[in-house]
Amino acid sequence: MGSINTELDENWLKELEENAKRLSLDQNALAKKLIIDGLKQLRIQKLLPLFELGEISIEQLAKALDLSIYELLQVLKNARIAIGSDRNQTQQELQLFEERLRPK
Amino acid sequence: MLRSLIAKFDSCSLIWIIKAEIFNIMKKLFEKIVITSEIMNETVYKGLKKGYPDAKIIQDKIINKEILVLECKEKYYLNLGDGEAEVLSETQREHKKGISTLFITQDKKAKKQAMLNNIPTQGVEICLLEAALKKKITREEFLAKLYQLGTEFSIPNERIIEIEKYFEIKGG
Repeated sequence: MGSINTELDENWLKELEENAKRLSLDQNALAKKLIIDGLKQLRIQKLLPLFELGEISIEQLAKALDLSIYELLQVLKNARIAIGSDRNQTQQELQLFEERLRPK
Repeated sequence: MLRSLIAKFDSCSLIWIIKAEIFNIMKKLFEKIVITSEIMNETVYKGLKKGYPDAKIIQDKIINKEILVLECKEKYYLNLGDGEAEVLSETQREHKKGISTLFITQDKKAKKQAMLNNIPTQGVEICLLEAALKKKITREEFLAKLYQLGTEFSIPNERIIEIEKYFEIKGG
């Protein structure tokens, strides 16, 4: 484990203190939680576009975000991220579907 | 029409058919519904740990042998997730042996891999379409479930439109 040192403006420090009291946490624990939550959000922001483009799969996304598939489906729903093929891939899929069902 | 005997589901597709309550439609369409041990790990064990009720439903279906679990013999497609790679590899292995089998996935990347390697693949919505065209479900059931999937899982509108269009042309 490592540590970081940082400076905050008075008003941020005050807000941190107030929220720490409200959540019954010490200020360090709350600061750590906020940094981790923020980093996770950044990770989501970085990876969601790659998922939407089909560059990473849904399982790869879940693993990278340290989420179960169930949790990820909820995250995608909340973020209104579409799951599934675009028009081109759907047309291709329908063509293969038709070929498969065609009597031989 | 050729009947697809074995449908192999990845995690997302399996969860969808449970959530949308279309498992019975899949049962009418396919002789076997199969997953791999990694898909069971994702959808049952990890889900139960976090208290997802769908995980229990899947577990019960495995116990009742409505869903079969197989061990992946050899895994390719290492640029996918473990479960996706297992299901795709198993579908490919059986397809090469001449067994009628399908890889069911919603995932763009996994589907692309399947198509590039000539492995039969389709999404859950196309399974519904197949059920409707084969008169396993009514037109009304098909459209209701298609829209339900579209809303619950944010399927791209352009995909829904393409599927509806195909259904209308092919005698929906």
